[in-house]
Amino acid sequence: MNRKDTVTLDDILDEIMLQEQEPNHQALTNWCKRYPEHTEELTRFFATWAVQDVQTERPEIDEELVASRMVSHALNLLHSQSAAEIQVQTVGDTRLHKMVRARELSDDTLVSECGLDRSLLAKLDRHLILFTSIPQACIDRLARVLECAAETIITAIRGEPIPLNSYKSKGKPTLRQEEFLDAVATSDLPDNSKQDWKRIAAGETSN
Amino acid sequence: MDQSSPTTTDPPLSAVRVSPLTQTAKKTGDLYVRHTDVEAEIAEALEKDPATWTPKTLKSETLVHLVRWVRPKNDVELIGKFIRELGRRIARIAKDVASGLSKSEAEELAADVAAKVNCLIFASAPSSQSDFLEVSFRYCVKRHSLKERDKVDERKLHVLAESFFGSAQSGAEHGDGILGSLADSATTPEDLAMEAELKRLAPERVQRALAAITSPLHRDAVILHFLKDWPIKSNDPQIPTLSTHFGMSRRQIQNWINAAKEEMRTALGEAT
Repeated sequence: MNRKDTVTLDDILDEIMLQEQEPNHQALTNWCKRYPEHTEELTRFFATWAVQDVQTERPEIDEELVASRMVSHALNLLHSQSAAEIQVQTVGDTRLHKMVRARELSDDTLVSECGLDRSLLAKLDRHLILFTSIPQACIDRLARVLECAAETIITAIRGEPIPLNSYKSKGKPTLRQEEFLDAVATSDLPDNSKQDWKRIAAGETSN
Repeated sequence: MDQSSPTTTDPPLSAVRVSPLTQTAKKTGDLYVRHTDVEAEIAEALEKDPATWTPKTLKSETLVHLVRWVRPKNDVELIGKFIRELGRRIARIAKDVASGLSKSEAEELAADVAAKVNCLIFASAPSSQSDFLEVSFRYCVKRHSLKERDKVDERKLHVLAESFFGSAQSGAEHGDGILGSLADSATTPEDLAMEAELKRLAPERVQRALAAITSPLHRDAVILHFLKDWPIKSNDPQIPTLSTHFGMSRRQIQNWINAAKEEMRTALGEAT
């Protein structure tokens, strides 16, 4: 997979907003033909846009309330980013499990929000999954939940496999990296989630 | 992001170079670039003392750039002032996709969008989406608003689903005969007439007709079919249709539209 060529749904939607003046059906059809793996999402996006475009009756919104909530969220974000930066400086490296802890999240929350399970999270944390096989969607989900840039996630999950500290054998352990989909196949995820990842990975590879 | 940010007490810079965006538009592979008026406004602002910046008069893309520029200095007051102004603007843009929502639902939607924009503004490394905020803030916010709106609608649909689909399906089961034969045909003459009529009506009459449709799903189907030219069904599987979008048969969609037409006619004083 060539990661530079990976186009996420969000990238496509940004392009659509730049190029399309209005949500007409012909435009939708063209975008669906270009990105058939996103047909369902594109259709829903255009439908929502079209319906909202036509209906002009809007509720009143307290702009100051929204603005205050945005300021509050921004300050929390800055605070947690500062805390995470301090944490990273303290430990001297970036590891996924440390980022989770710095965000005061539980592993369960993270895996549930990202469509992963604990075994996949542990493998990602220890670089036991070949980086090039990891779907961009997985990276994007981790970045969203951990409220950081995708590049930060990439830094955390790419590199040589990391052995467990508790390894007691005299010999050096041989750690094998596996493909993301192989790790998914042997995970405890339900079948439908495994199928989702297969579909996502196939969609990204075809781009 | 400019890494050589002076502190707020630094003297104004004489010649400021605005850092270019670093990410590419994924479709074209070209670097994102700001509009020239935004570039000029940023350069002008950076030549002044930040204490003199007035967020209300600055473009949103400029505000985003300046917040990022100020951030390393942790000037919480200035950041808060700028974010507050961006929050007001997000509320206005989000309102455009809040039709049919209550005030609190619309505010919740706008706050969710604002949180997403915050994450992009303060992303620790640039991405194409974070750069896009400085290319077109409005489009970026509108795009996130539409996605959030879709989520709100989806949640509402789940709540409505059981009762609504129950009645819709029973209607379909008992709705054969004339309706059934209409539904199995292509666009009916009656539909063509309705489409022409809706497109001819004054905007306020269109709104009145749409407001008379009691089911949100029926209303969406009417808007998409009559006003946005979506086909009910197509032989080409690559063409999005009402049938694929709603996951319903042609007949069921046609039943929705027929029911909506009756309500619209009544509202427009043309009851049959």
